[in-house]
Amino acid sequence: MSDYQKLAFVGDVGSGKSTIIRTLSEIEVVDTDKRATVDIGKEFTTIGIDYGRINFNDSMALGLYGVPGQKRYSLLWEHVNKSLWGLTLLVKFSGAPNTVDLSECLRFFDPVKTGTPFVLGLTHVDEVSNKNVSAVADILKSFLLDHELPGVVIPVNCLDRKSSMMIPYFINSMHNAKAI
Amino acid sequence: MFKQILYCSTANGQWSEHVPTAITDIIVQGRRFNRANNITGFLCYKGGYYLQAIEGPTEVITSLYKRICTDSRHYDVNTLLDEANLTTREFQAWSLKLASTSPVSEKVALFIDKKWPALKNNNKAALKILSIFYKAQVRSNYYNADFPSLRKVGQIEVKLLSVPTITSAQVGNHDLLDIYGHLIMRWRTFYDLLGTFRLKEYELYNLLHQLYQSDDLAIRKYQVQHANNTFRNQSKPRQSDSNFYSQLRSFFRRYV
Ligand SMILES: Cc1cc2nc3c(=O)[nH]c(=O)nc-3n(C[C@H](O)[C@H](O)[C@H](O)COP(=O)(O)O)c2cc1C
Ligand SMILES: Nc1nc2c(ncn2[C@@H]2O[C@H](COP(=O)(O)OP(=O)(O)O)[C@@H](O)[C@H]2O)c(=O)[nH]1
Ligand SMILES: [Mg+2]
Repeated sequence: MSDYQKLAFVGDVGSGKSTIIRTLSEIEVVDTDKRATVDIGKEFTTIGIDYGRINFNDSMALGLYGVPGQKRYSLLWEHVNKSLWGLTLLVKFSGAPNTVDLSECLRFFDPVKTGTPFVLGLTHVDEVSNKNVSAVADILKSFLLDHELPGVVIPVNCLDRKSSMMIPYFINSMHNAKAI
Repeated sequence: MFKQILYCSTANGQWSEHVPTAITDIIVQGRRFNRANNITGFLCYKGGYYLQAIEGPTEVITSLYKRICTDSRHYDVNTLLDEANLTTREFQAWSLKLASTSPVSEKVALFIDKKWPALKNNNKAALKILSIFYKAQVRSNYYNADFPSLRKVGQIEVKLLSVPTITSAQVGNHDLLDIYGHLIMRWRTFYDLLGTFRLKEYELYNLLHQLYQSDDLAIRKYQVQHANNTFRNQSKPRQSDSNFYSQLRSFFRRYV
């Protein structure tokens, strides 16, 4: 395994890309947040790629890439979707997740075709009961299965390091399984 | 007892018009039905023709095939193979795989000129085609499976749909992630091994329990079905048993 790998976080505005990268990164993040021209309920929104980096273990450093999930950013997708170590789709918790954008995004990244370990990170779950998290996770799992993806949904609190680390750890487990 | 049918038919309409949406509908609805009814198989489209294999419990297959035969989205349905009283399945990884002809095409061209109807009255060729798809399924053990597949493990039929959602109490439990990661990536091999590598009953119980105990609805729906109650009577594993995780891990390392 090469000692530098790319882990991508793709998701809608507000899904937590910048936050999880800031939480995980050991270097100062290259934060491309710019003032949004539309009021989207928060002051800043991502318009470019966020970048951070961690030493995952002794032999591997991970580059962390945050990419917006709307189709008009597909130029950025192309930039990032090269030899990815792992792909994470970040979805903000809500009773009715918007699966249309998710579909487009998955169709583009097509982790099945590229053989990239893939997980869905369900964010903003820290104030939601386990029961509700699990109900929404179920909806997302069946959505993934309908796209021929394994139903892996990891609830994650992007503000918390231990919780955020579950994502690279899970993807690493998938690589270990592949390697045996 | 299982029944398996291989047939080919002619799609209604031009590829550019109806066929893509028809296929999507068939796959989406068919999968839902097949998963719920223990049916496995694939559907392949090429040059205006469908080729499909379905297998499962005899009565279910018989009635499904009747419906398929009268479906207006295709016509001229030709039964190529019809096997009854089977004890095993061939396509357990696929509930309704939209199979690509690519693994088949080069080989297939040799004797069927890329048209499924040429398989009519050619039992040997039909069997050959089936085995090519079977091999494609076995080769692609990474992600290619259609997850809620069935597996007979000893007397227990296991359906694996997805892994349980990690709860907040499990945050930081990397052993658990390891196990789930293995399951997702190598579940086919894993279940093969459960079948062939004779796990002690309590080990199997522990593992299944771990997998299905969660409050996860998707999992509960796909509970392990006990053919008999042997495993029920055993005491439940202790959650805190850290040995359990390391045992499982070493199991995976060694055998999966
Ligand atoms: C080529 C083809 C393959 C099909 N395969 C399946 C299948 O595997 N499982 C399934 O439930 N329906 C399948 N269908 C759909 C059935 O023909 C039928 O529409 C479905 O069982 C619902 O029947 P109903 O509307 O009478 O309830 C297939 C249809 C076609 C045209
Ligand atoms: N409570 C909570 N807030 C979060 C979480 N993830 C992100 N946020 C907050 O949601 C807002 C949007 O997150 P941000 O990372 O900028 O989203 P981005 O547009 O995907 O980069 C910020 O105010 C974050 O602090 C989470 O998991 N839990
Ligand atoms: Mg951002």
